[in-house]
Amino acid sequence: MLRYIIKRLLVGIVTLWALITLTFILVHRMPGSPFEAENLSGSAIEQLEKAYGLNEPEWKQYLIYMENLLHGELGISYKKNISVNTLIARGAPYTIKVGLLAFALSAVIGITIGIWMSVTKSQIVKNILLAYATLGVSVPAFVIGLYLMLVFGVWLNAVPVVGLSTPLHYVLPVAAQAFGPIATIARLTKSTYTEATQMDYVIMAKAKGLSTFQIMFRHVLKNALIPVVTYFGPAIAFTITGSFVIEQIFSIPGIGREFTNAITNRDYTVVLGFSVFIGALIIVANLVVDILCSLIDPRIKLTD
Amino acid sequence: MSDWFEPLPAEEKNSEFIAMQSKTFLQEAWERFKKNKMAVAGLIVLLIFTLLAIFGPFFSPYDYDAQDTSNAYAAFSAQHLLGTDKFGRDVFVRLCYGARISLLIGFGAALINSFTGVIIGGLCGYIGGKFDTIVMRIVDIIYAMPSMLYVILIMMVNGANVRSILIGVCIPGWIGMARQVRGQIIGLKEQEFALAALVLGASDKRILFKHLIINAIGPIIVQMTLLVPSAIFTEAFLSFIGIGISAPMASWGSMAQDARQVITLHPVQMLLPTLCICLTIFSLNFLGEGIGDALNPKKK
Repeated sequence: MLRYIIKRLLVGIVTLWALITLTFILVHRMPGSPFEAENLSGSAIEQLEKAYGLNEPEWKQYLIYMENLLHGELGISYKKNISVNTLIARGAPYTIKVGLLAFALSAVIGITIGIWMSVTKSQIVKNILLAYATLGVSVPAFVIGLYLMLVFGVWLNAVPVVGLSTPLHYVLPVAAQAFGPIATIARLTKSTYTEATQMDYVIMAKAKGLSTFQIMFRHVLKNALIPVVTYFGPAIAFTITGSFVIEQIFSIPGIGREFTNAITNRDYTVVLGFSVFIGALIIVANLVVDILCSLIDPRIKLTD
Repeated sequence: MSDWFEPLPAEEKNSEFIAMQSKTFLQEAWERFKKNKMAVAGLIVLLIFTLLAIFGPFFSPYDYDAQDTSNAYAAFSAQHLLGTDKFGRDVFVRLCYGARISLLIGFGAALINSFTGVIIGGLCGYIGGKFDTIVMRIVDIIYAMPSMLYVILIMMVNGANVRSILIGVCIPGWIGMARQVRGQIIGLKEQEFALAALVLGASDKRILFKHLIINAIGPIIVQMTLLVPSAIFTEAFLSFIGIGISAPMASWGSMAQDARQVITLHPVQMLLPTLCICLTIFSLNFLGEGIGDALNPKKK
């Protein structure tokens, strides 16, 4: 068990390092100087580059960057003269609130729909749920966001669509974020649940005369939900990349919008800082989910 | 005496013969595929999109970037089948160009990723040992990195065009295929036919490509059908956040982004490109499911 966790941790650390290095190299390959657009003379650009250490050889910049990273410094925006840490600290509360709500919603509703799909005898209910599950995995988050905004925000005028000032403002962004993951989790739960109910140990439990409640929670759900928990890692990544578009559509000042803004403004250090931050977040989330899964289900480490 | 017997007429001769006409694997798969209505519908929709993508622009007098600002946001008409956008550009032609980009990226990425994945996965599964361990660790690392991030970075370095999107999508895209093929090959290489081929003196190359990979072709094709929609998803996403295909070239994602600003006044501008994206991904998903069921009749 310990060996498995150590191995996963090592892979995680190497991945993080690879991500940081790759991002650094790519960002430094981007065409043009970050100060080009500001109508500065050649000597002014040179001075600015010197002030920000851009005239140093690349390997030295890399070392400096790594050292700063180890101190938790993600860099400074050349365009806004504000540190990336501040930008993240400013945007994170919004992104985390919407993301966590969407994540919780998709886990609860997704698992419920999945079990419902599996146990229902009604063909109509089954078809409706199946249609939703298919729709959910086929429609990109930004399309859902746009339509939710059009129908509920503009035509019905039922909920506000700009910003996050009241609880009501959360309805549409959270719904747009959760729409896809709900469908994925529902599909996953349906197949694992159906499989788990047909297992010999469930028949055995029934034969022993255990109550339905005990069979459900101790035998069926425990086994059915492990693959679902494994999906939580990718779901977190999905939620974060989803925030890039959702925050743009609903004008939420979160991390996703800061990141897409930095991309359009070609603010390289911010892109670098955010990439490293978001990447690290996703890698750590995946790591935690994997280790949690191996703790819940000791069988996992045997297959790897 | 001779009239005691008469020769049997030709059609009666074989009347007791009840063998079914033998069919190849692919013929049987096609029969099963045809029974799946949604999959056939998906195939038809995709064919229509493909035809429009290839020939649509030739049949329209307009170009994707031909502006006519006096005629912005025109309604559907005989001149402009699906109306015009904010610069008076013909929406139908732009959608056709969008289809070109989406399908090119979808199928291009699927082909490249399948090729890489099959080769690497096949080699890892067949050779095994140290080579396999090292490659699989590298695969773990690439897989753990959030792919959307470096797709974005690659787009920024190489410029916003189809080639950069393909490069970005293809760096992590082959991993699922490689893992799948590796698993299949590890199982298949223990089977008797592989041993038989080895005993008969077949070379490693021949065993791997002519025997093992051919036997894993079902799962390979199923995996391939999953690669197409995910690449189309990525392109639409990138173009929507503004770093995919750059203006004035039309892509469904960027058309949806342009329409966002006029969502209240001209919802149709948004409806058309998003409908195209969803229809395509829908069709691909149904098609993929149909192909999967057809190739793997035991699964259910």
